[in-house]
Amino acid sequence: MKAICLILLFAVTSGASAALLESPQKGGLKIASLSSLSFGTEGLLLVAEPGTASVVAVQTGDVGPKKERLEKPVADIGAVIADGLGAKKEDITIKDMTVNPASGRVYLGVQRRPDNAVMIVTVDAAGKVAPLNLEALSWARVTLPGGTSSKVTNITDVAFDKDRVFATGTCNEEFASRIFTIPVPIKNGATANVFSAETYHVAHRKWETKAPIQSFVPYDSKDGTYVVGAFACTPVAKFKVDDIQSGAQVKGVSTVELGSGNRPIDLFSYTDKSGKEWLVVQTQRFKQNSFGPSKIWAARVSMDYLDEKAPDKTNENAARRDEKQAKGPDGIEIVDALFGAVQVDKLSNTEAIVLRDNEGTLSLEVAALP
Amino acid sequence: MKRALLATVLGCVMLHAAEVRVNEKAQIEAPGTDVRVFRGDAEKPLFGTLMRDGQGVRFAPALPFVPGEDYRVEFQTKEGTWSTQRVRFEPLKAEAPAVSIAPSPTVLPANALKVYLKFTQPMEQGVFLERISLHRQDGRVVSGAFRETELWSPDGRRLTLWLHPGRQKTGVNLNLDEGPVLREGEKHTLKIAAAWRSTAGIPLGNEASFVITAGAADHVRPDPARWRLTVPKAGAHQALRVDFDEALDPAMLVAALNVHRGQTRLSGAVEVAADARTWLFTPSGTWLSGAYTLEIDPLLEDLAGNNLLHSFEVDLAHDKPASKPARLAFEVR
Repeated sequence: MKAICLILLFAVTSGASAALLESPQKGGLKIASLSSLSFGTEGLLLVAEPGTASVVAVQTGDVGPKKERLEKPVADIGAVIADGLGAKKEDITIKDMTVNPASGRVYLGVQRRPDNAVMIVTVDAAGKVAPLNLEALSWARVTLPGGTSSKVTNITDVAFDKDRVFATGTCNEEFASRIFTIPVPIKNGATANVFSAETYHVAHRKWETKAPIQSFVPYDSKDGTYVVGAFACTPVAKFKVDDIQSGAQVKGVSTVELGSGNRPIDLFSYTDKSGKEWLVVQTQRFKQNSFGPSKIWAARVSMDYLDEKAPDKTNENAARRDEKQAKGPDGIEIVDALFGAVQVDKLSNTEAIVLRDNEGTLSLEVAALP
Repeated sequence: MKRALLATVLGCVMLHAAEVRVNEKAQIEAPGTDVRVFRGDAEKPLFGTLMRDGQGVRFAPALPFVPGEDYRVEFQTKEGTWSTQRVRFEPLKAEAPAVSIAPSPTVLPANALKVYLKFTQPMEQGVFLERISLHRQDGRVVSGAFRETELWSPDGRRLTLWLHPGRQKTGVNLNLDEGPVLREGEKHTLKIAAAWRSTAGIPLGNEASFVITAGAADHVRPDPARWRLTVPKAGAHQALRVDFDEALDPAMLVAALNVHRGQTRLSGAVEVAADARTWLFTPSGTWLSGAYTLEIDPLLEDLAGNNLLHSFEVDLAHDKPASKPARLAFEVR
C-alpha cells in the first residue's frame, strides 16, 4: 500500500547532526505534553515535556539553507491550526514558538482542549501550516532530576549552547529556581545536572531562591558562560555556569530591573547594524501599560549591562527602569514593533517572528528590530 | 487512551448511506481516490495522513477524533466527482468530574502562597484563569489574584493554585499598589466555574465554592520541636501519628516525612489529614520495640512557603538557616 503523507515530513539528512545525539532512538516518538520549544544547531529541536519532566531532542532534518523567511503575515493563524487539529479556535493554546535558525522555518507547540493533546506545527515561507511528523525522526529524551520530595512538573524554558543544553524548571510544590544542564551529545536516558539558583531581587531588595526563572538565554562573555534569566518580579540576572558541580547553589548577579508588575514571556539576543549587542525581554504587565497600545511589550537592554560586575552597578545597585517613564535609563529602550506579541523569537539580527494578539485574533508576522 | 479510542470508534454514527466508515484503527475509509475530513463546517481540513489502495482511501488524523464531534467527509470518486458524508462520534459516557480543595477547611495565613485543587478526573488545561475566581467578603472579585503559571500534577488531577506572589510578598510594588490577595480576618470565596471540562469533555456541571479564611500572616519557620508524636506500642499494626502546630503543605507532606529504624527506611502507607495538620504512617509490618527516627525533608513548607531552613521572605545574605537536624527520634516500647 502506498502511503502519501499530507503532513510535513522533512528529508532527514543522514548524519547531519550525528554528533548532537548519542545512540538516538529511531521513530516512534510521542510527545505527551509541551511547554517550551527551542532550536540548536543543525536542525536539532528541543522540546520541553513537563508531563514527564523531560527534555526531548529531535533531529528534524530541517537543516536549511535559510530560505523560509515568512513572506507575508498569516492572519488568524489560531483558526488555521484549530481547523487542522479538529478543534474550535477557543480550544487551542499556542504554548510556544521558535524559529529554526538554519532554515527560518517557524515551529509552534500547540495544545488542544479538552483532551490536552499536543502537537508541533510548522509554518513555511508561504505561510503554509503543517504538522511536524515525529514518526520517522531520530530523538533522545532526558528526564530532569527532582528534589528530595517533589518532581519537576514545569519546565519554563530550554536552550542549546554548544556543548550542553540548559533548562529551567520548577516543582508543583516549591516556588524555586532550578537550572538543569544536559551534556551534548545528548544520550537518551542520560541524567541531567541540577543547580539551585539564588538571586538578588532588586524590587524588594532581598536575596532569595524563591522565584522561578521564566525565560533565559545562554550568554558567552569574556569571562565565561552565563545563563541570563528573567524572573517574575522582574530582575534580569546572570548565573555563571562554568565549572559548577551538580547540586550546587549558583549565586546570580542581578543586572537590570525592568519595573515591577511585569511578567517576562521570552528573551532573545541580537546584534544591531552598528555591532552593538542587545537582549530583548518580552514582557506582560500586570496592569495597562503607561506607554504603548498593549500590556504586552518588550524592552531591549544593552548587553553592556550584563557585562557589569562592579558592586556599584549590580544587585541592589542594578539599573532600574521606572515603569512610569517612557525612556531611560540609557541602554534600556521600549521596542515598538513588539507590542502585543504573545510569542516572539529572533529570525535574524534585523527581524523577529512574532505571534501578535490583535484583539483576540492571533497573526504570525515578521517584525523589524531597531 | 486505548479505551477512549475504542469507545470513539464504537460510538461512531454514520449520518448517510455508509459509503464512508470508521475502521478499527479510528481511520476514516472512503471509496474513490481522495478524501478530506473537516470538523463540522470548518474551512480547512484536519491534519492527517492519506493512504490509498485498490479499494479506496483511508485517512488517519494527526490527533485522534474527538468524541462528541461531527465531521464532514469529502471524498472523490474514481469518476472525479466529489461527495460529502457526515460522521458523528458520540460523546464518551463518563461521569462528571468533581473538585475539592486542600487543605480543608481552608484556613490560611494572610501571606499564603498556594492551595491545591483536586479533581476526580484529569481536567482540560490552559483555561484555569478563566474558570477560577476569588471573591472578597462583599462579593467583589479579587482581580489578578493568581499567578499565571499553570502547574498540574503528572496525572492532570491536581492543580497548584498560586496566590500571586508579587502581591503576597511584602514590599514588592504589586503588594504596595494592589494590596495582598488575602485580607487578614476576612472570609474569601473561591469559585470554580461549572463549565470546566474533564479531558473527556464532561463539565463539572455545577459551580463549586470554597470558603478561604485568612488568619494572621506567618513568617515563622516550621519547627519539628513543636510537633507532637503519638507512638504505637511494640507489636501493634497501628499508625504513627504526627500532629503539627500549624497546617503544612498537604502535597509536600506525602513524601517529606519518612520513618527510619537505624539506616533502614520503613515501607508503609502515608495518610495526610484533610486539614494538613496531621500525618499518619502505618508500616507494612508491625512495630518492633526500639529506637526510630522521623526524617524530615528540610524543604517541607508551611502554607506561607516557610521551610525548615528559611522563612519565605528572607534576605539570604543576613538570615542564618536553621542548624538543627531535620529529624525527630522516638522509641517504640
